[in-house]
Amino acid sequence: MKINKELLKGSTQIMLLSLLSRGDMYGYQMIQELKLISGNVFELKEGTIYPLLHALEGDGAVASYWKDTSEGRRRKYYRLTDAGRMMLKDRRSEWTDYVAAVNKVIGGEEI
Amino acid sequence: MTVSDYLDAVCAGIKYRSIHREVREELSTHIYETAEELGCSLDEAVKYMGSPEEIGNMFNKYHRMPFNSRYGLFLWAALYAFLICMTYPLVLEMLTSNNYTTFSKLTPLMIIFAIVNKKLLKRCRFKMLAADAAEVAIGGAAGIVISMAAVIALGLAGFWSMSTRLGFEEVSYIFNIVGLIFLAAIELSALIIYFSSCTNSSPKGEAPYYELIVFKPMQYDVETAFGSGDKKSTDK
Repeated sequence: MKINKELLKGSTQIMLLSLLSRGDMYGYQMIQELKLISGNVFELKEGTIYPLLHALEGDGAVASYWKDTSEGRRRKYYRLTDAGRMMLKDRRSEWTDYVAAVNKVIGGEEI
Repeated sequence: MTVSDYLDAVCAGIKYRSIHREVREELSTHIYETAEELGCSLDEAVKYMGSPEEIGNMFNKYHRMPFNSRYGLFLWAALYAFLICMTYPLVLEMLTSNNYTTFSKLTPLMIIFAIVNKKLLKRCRFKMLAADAAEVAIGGAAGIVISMAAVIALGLAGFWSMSTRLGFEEVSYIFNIVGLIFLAAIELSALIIYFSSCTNSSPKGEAPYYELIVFKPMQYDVETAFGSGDKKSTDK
């Protein structure tokens, strides 16, 4: 199934940002949440989340910090910044408008 | 593929080396946690991560330095040190003799530097890390040493030609010509490095974008149902 790249890019960003709006998370945790919430509809290339997060960090939408775990490893946590919150708000309303419009077009009659 | 092979493959795509350590730690923690959660081996856990080349490319897009390596910094430092050495006599001459025609020699050079600099700085997105300091120090120092050597060599050549039969006019002329050629060579190699650092991304035009999420093909696939012949897109 081929999906418009821009649309997909936007939707991935919204999902990552809205996950982070619930609290600080690290990459692995975000992947698990995505799987759980979406009901396994998505097939994830898990490693790809990190460059996306780094990109968001570059845009100033998220910030990161390291935290030690009990197993002696370090996890990199991501936190939503104020700019990120604004971005999420904008993207979310764009997305809702888009989905509402598409639904109006396709949802009119039974197939 | 073992974990370290995987991490090597990812980092092979990231030219900004200072970020390698952080990326390795972040990804390996993820792999360890996957393995623990699923109770599988680390080599198994790597398979969930996705293509290391794609991920390396994506990182490479977001982490950049001017030139992306210490060789680039080396060239850059050489260029600047040389520029300063070259322009100093010109500026001095201008100030002492009140002859401002020297500006005509300087302006084109300055414009080129300004444009290249702007391009480079716009391209880079780097954070200041401790590792950057080492890269900058090594690259910068090496560049300055090299271009000082070049300047001294030029000076010696000047003395040599003065001690033979050439007059001051000719010597300064030669000095300028050689200097310009040297600058052009550095500039050219800087540009080559600059452009070659973009080559591991996808074809021209559209910037590469790789999906985190791939929608699973559903039972009822629009393309197969309507007989679009494009099979490649359904594979993805």
